[in-house]
Amino acid sequence: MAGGISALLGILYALSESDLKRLLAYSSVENLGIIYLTIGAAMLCQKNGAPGFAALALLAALVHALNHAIFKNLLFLGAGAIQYKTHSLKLNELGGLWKTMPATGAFFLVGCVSIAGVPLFNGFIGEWMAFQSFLAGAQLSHPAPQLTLALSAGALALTGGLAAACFVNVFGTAFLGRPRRMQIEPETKMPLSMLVPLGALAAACLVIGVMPMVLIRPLWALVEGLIPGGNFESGAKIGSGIQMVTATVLIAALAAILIRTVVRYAPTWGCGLASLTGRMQYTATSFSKPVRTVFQPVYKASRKLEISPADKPYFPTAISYESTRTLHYEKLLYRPIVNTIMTIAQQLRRLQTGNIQWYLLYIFLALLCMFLFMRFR
Amino acid sequence: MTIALRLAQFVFLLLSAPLLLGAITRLKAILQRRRGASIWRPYAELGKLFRKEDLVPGSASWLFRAAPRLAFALTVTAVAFLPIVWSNGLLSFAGDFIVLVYLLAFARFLMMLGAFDGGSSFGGMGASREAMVSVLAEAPLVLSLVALAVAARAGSLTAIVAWTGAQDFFNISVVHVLAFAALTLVAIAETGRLPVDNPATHLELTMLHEAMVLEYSGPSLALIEWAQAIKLNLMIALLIALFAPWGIASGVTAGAILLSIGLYVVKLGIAIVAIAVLESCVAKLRMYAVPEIFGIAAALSILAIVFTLMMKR
Repeated sequence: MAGGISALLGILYALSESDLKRLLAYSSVENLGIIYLTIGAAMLCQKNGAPGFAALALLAALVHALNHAIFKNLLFLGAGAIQYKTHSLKLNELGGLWKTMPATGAFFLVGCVSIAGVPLFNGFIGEWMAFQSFLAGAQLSHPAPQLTLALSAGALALTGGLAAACFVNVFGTAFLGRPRRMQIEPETKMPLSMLVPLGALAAACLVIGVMPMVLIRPLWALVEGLIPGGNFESGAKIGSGIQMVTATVLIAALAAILIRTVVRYAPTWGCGLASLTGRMQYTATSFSKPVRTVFQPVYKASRKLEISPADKPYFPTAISYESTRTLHYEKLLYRPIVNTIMTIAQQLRRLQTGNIQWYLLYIFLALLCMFLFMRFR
Repeated sequence: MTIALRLAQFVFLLLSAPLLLGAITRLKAILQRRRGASIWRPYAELGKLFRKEDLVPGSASWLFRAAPRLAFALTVTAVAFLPIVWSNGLLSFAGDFIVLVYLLAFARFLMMLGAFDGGSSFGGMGASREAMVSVLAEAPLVLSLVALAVAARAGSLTAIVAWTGAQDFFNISVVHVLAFAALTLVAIAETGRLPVDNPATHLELTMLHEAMVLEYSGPSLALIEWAQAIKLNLMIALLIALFAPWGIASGVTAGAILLSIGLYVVKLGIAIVAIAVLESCVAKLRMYAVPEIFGIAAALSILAIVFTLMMKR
């Protein structure tokens, strides 16, 4: 349950974030949420006497944890490469980077597609197995797992949809379209030591996505040791299913690509304007606007719009716009805990007088307590 | 023999998609007392687009042209799971309906990226709106499919269809009624039909899907439109297969197969009439009213799941 909630909150905050590194951190919260949700499913199945399903759920959690390690590393390294080249991680300032850093862009795209959890990439494998274990567990004839696991599937689906939207936003605003306000350093070349790890991680994403058995088989041995009584059959079917899908997609894509086309490059339609600039594009913040509006109760955003001069709103000389979100979980969950600890710590500070006699007294009292404890134990 | 049947229904779903679109448009025209174009018009339009040149914005990368082609391939693959006149889909394995949902999600993911690549604000706007719709559509879609799978105690579409086909039509469970309502709402939104999106509009401020593909032309646009038609066909076929599979052929006799084809055409006809009447009666919703539809769909699908608890085994 907590896993599902943290997955949803994590991705909602990630979606509204426009700083790439913080966005990735929020998305880690989301992915850990998914992993905990799946481990919870495993425990629920185990309790209700279905070790086979529990093993599948645990396997899904492990697979997703490993996959998350791969694509999240890829994305963080990619973010580092962007910063190296542009000195900025603000999505609203980036744009059209694929033209200046083609290899990094391609690898980063693989990372984005993987984390969005779509088929043929590794992020899907773990999520699909999680769905399958939820589905299997929901078919147990106990009301508790049936309801919880079926609804978990819904939470996972919503999270998946939000993650896809979030990373379309990331890749679309940073790498596609036209450049926005950042400074590109044309003379800085990507060193090979930055590109090789990115390439290796991207390759791992693809290989696991198309041939999941390379990852599932060794992990299964681990799960079998933890939860005996599962059978490998459902796990083995995942590999063959993915292969059938891959083959069909490849054949259809080949057919579509082979259609004869004449390509001509032309400027983008600008509604009659002479030329479009990078500033006219949709930014990361404007992209996430509809979703932010829908999930308004979660964000509790406050907006401030200032137009000057105030008496002529249609001919402004300066417009400032400010939008802040309340971090609910921080206000309601962490703040009280932190505050309590801080208060206790403040009280405890009085013990530290700096006077050596007091410290000797403490040591004496501690020894006394210990002796008394030993005596009367 | 059976593999041939499975392949045939897959190809039929792909090729009949523009015809379905043509039939809906024609019927809508008749309902509005216009004569309307021929039902074969979408084929002519696709042919015309395939012969034209592909215009690519100067700011775009290779992804701009790759996106519609890959998205088309993914949509085609999603069709392969459906059983319509023959009781087995071309591909079938445990959890295949999840793959179907996510293949469509991947196709949409690529189209949104392609829209960003155009470098104009319309692409971003369309992608942003499409993202909102797809984010909200996914959960009720998965939830109602899960409810049906739990009710049928099955893992694949083919198995769910087989189980429903074995039930008595007049003794249909409340789970199916609720899931049907939820899935219908989602299907309307997913395929960009009224009242969520208007496939006929070309006014920038009201477009969702059309704004996203505004920069596309020629063969790329043809593939996008075909894929969109296939998606509509897929959703209708999915609804028919899940909620009205009776009469679907499972034995290899000419009689059974002919009966199955005939029944499928009748069911499809009912769906076409329903869509045309609905689209003639309602106006497009304001975009921020669309989440309410998904709220209803989500509530219905959650109820469907709750009611699976009460099903007798």
